[in-house]
Amino acid sequence: MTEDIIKIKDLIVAYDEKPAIWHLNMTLQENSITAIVGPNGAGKSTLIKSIMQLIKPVSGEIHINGSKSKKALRDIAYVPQKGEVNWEFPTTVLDVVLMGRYVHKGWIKRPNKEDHKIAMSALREMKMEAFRNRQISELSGGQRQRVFLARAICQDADIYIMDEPLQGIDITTEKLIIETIKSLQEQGKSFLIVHHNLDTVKEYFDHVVIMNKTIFASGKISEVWTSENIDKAYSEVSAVR
Amino acid sequence: MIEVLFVLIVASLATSVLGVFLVLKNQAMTTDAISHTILLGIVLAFFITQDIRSPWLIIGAALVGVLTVYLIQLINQTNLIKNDASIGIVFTALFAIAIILISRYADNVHLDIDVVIAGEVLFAPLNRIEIFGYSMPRALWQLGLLLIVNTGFVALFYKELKVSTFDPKFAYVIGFSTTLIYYMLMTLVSVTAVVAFDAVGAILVINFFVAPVLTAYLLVKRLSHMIFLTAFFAILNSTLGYLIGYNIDLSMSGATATVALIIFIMVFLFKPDGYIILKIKKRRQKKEFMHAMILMLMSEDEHEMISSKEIAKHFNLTRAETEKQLETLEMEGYIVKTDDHYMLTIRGEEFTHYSRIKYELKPY
Amino acid sequence: MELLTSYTFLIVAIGTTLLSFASGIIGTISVIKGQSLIGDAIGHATFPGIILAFMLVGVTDTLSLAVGAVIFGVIAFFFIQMITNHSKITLDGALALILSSFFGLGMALKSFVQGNPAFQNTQGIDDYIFGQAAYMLRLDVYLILIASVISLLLFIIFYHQIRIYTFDPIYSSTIGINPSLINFLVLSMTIILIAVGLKAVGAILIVNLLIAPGVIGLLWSNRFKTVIIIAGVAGAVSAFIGTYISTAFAGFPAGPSIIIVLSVFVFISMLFGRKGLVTRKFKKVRGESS
Repeated sequence: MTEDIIKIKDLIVAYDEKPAIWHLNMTLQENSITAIVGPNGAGKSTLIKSIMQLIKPVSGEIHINGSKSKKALRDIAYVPQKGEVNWEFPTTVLDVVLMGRYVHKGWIKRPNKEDHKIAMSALREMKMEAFRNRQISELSGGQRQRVFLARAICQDADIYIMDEPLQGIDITTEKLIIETIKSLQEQGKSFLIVHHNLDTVKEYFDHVVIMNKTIFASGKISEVWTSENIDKAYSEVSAVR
Repeated sequence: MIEVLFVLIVASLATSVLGVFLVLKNQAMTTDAISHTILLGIVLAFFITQDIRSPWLIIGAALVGVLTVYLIQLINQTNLIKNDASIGIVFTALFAIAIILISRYADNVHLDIDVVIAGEVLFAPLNRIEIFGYSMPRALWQLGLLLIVNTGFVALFYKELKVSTFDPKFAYVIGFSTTLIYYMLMTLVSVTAVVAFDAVGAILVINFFVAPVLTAYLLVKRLSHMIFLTAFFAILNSTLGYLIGYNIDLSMSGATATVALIIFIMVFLFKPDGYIILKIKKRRQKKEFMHAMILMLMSEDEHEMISSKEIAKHFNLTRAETEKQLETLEMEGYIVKTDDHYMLTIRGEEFTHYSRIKYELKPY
Repeated sequence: MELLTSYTFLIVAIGTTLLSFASGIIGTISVIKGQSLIGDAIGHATFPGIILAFMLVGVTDTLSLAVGAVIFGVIAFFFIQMITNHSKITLDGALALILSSFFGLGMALKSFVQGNPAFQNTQGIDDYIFGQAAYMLRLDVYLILIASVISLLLFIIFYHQIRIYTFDPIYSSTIGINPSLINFLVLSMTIILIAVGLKAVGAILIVNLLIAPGVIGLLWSNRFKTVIIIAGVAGAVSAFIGTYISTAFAGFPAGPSIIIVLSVFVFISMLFGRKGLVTRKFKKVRGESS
C-alpha cells in the first residue's frame, strides 16, 4: 500500500475574514500524479500556498512527510504561477536553474562542479541546454516554463507542487513537461498540480482532487472522475445548500 | 501682505489644475525632473540676457523643461533603460550642468541658487507691474494669466485629456494624438513651474503640483469632482501655509508644503474608508470571524463539549486570547460553561446557522 | 601630478570613490526592481533631518547630521510604504508627495534657523543640499568608509538571498528566505549610504550615484554578478575622474562633476553596450549580410 506523503487535516483558510478553504481534508498519495481541479475562486492556489506556508491558515494541520515544521518544505519543489518573477533581472537560464541548488547550500557557499552538472542535466532533460546562456527575458512563455521545471528538478525534492504549469504554453512544451513528469514519477517522485483543462485530466494524471472551497471528491481517476462529481463542484457557484 | 497670500493661492491653483492629469497619468515624478532642470534653462537664459527679470528666462527655462520630457521619452523609446531610472539620470545630469555653470561663471552675478531652490514668496510684492492702471506684483499677474490659460486648456481639451489619461489606446483608435496632448500638457507644466519657482521655489513647486491632487484623489472617484476638490485643497493648503509662515516667521512655501502633507495624512487616516476606520473594521471582522469559527467548531458533533485548551490548540491561539473570546461568547449567551467544558446554547446554534449563510458555507 | 598626492585631493577622492563604488552596487538592486526613484525621494527627505539635528546639536557636526538624515530617510520610506500599501495612490504619486513635503519641511525649518539669532554658523547647511566635497573632512571620509564597508559586507553575506529575492520573491520565501528582512536590509543600506554621501554630492544629486552605475552595468551584461561589478567599478572610476576634474579646474564642484562623468558613461553604454543602439545596428547589418 502506498503512503500519504502530504496529509491535510480539517484545513480552514480565510482571506480578509472570508473563508477561501473550508474544512478541507485531503492526502497526496506517494508516487502519484495528482491534479487539483475546480472552478475559478475554488481556492486551488490558496491550498497550494497554504501547503508552502505562504499563507497562515485559521485552523487545521498540514503534514509533509509526517512533519509539520518549516524544514519539511525542503522536500517540496514549488513551481509558481507565471508572472510572479522579475523578468528584467540580469540572469541567464543556467543561473536560474542553479538557484534550485541553493536549498542544499548554506549561507555564502557557492555552487560547485557537482551542482553545475546537476543543473546541466536538468536543462538537458527539458531540452533547453542550447539556451543556457540566454537571458531569461529573451525566452518564450513555454521556454520559461521549461526553465522553471528544470529549476524544480535541480532541487531534488520528493514532491513537486505546480500552479497551472500548462497554462498558456505551446503544445510541444506541454507534451515535454508531461513526459518529464511521468519519467520523474518512475524515479519515485510525487506531484500535486493545479490544472485547468478538464479534457486532459484523464490522459495526464492518475489521481484527482475535485474541490470548491472543500473537497468534493478525491482519489484515483478511474474511481472519482465522473461527470456527476465534476458537475457537483462546478455547478455550485457558492457551496450553500 | 495680503498680496503674498494671493500669489500663493493663484500659484497653487495654476499648478494643481494641471497636476490632476499628471497624477492620473503617473507622471508626478516627471514634474520632479522638470522642476529641477528648469534651473539649467534659467542659467542659460541668464547668461544670454544678463537680466534676472527678462521674460527670456521664462522661455528658456520652459524650453529646457520640455526638452527634459522629450529626452526622457527618447530614452524610453530605446527600451534600454527603465522609465524611472531614465528620469533619475536625465534630471540629475541637467541639474549638475546647471550647478557647474553657476559655480564656474555666475559667482560674480546675482543668481542665488538658494532662492531658486527655496523661493521666497515674501519678495514677490516688491517686483511690481502696472496693469490697466493698477499696480500689482508681477508674479501675481503672470500666475494669474497662467491660471486662466491652464484652466482654459483643461476646459477646452477636457474630453481629450480624459480619454488619453484613462485609455490611451482608445484615444489612438478614435483618432487623436495622445502625444500632442501630452506635449501640450508638459509645455504648460514647464511654463507654470518656471513662473511659480520665483514664488515658491523649484522643488516645492512639485508639492504645489501634486499634494492637493493626491488629497482629493483619496476622497473622490470622478474626474470632475476631483478637479474641484483639488482647487479646494490648493486654497486651504496655501492659506494655512501663509498663516503659519506669517505668524512664526517661516518660509511660506515650506510651511505650505508641510501643511499639505499633514492634511494629506489626516485625510488618509480619518476619511470614511481611510486607514484607521479600515483597521477598526478589520479588527471587528476578525473578532466576529473568530467567534463564528469557535461556535461552528462547537456545533460539530465531535466537539459538542469542548475545553478552552482544545479550542486554543485547534486555532493556534494563545490561552489568554481564547479565554477572552469565550468570555464574550458566554456573556452574549451563545455558549454555557459546565465544569471545564463549553457547549452551545440554542441561541448559539442559531448563530452558527446564520454564519454559514453569511460566509457562504455548507453545513458541516 | 602633484595634485594626485595632495592631501585635500586624496581625502575627497577616497571618500567619493568608495561612496560611489558602494552606492553603485547597492543601487543596482533598486534599478532592477524598478524603484530607483525611491532613492531620490529619500535623498530629498533627509533635509529636515539634517536641520533638526543641527538645531539639537547647534553645530554642523558630521555624525549627528548623518544620524538625523538616516532617521528622516527611514520615516520617509515608512510613509511611502504606508501610502502605497493602504490607498490607491501609486508609487509615483507617493514619491512626489513625500519628496516635496519633506523638503518643504526642511525649508521651513531652515528659514526658522536662519532667522533665529540663537543659531549661528548656519552657512554649512547648504552644503548638504548641493554637496560640497571640497569641505570634506577626515571624519566624513571615515563615515563613508564605515558605511561602505558595512553595506558591502552585508551585501556579500546575503548575496544569494538578495539575488534570489530580487529575481523571484515568492520562490525565495518557499526556500526559507525572509523577503521582508531582505527588503529592509537593502533599504537600510541605501539610506545609510545616502546619509553619509550628502556632504559629498548633496541631497538633490545623490540619487544619480544609486542609479547611473547600475544602468551602465545592465547595458553591458546580462549576468547579475558582472552587472554589479561593472556598476561598482563605473561608480568608482567616475568618482575619481570627477573629483580630479573638480580639483584641477576652478568652478567644478565634485558632486556635479562626478555626475557628468557618470552620465557620459551612461550615454556611451547606450550606444556601444551589449544591447546598445550602435551594437544593435551593427548586429543587424551583419545578420542581413550573412
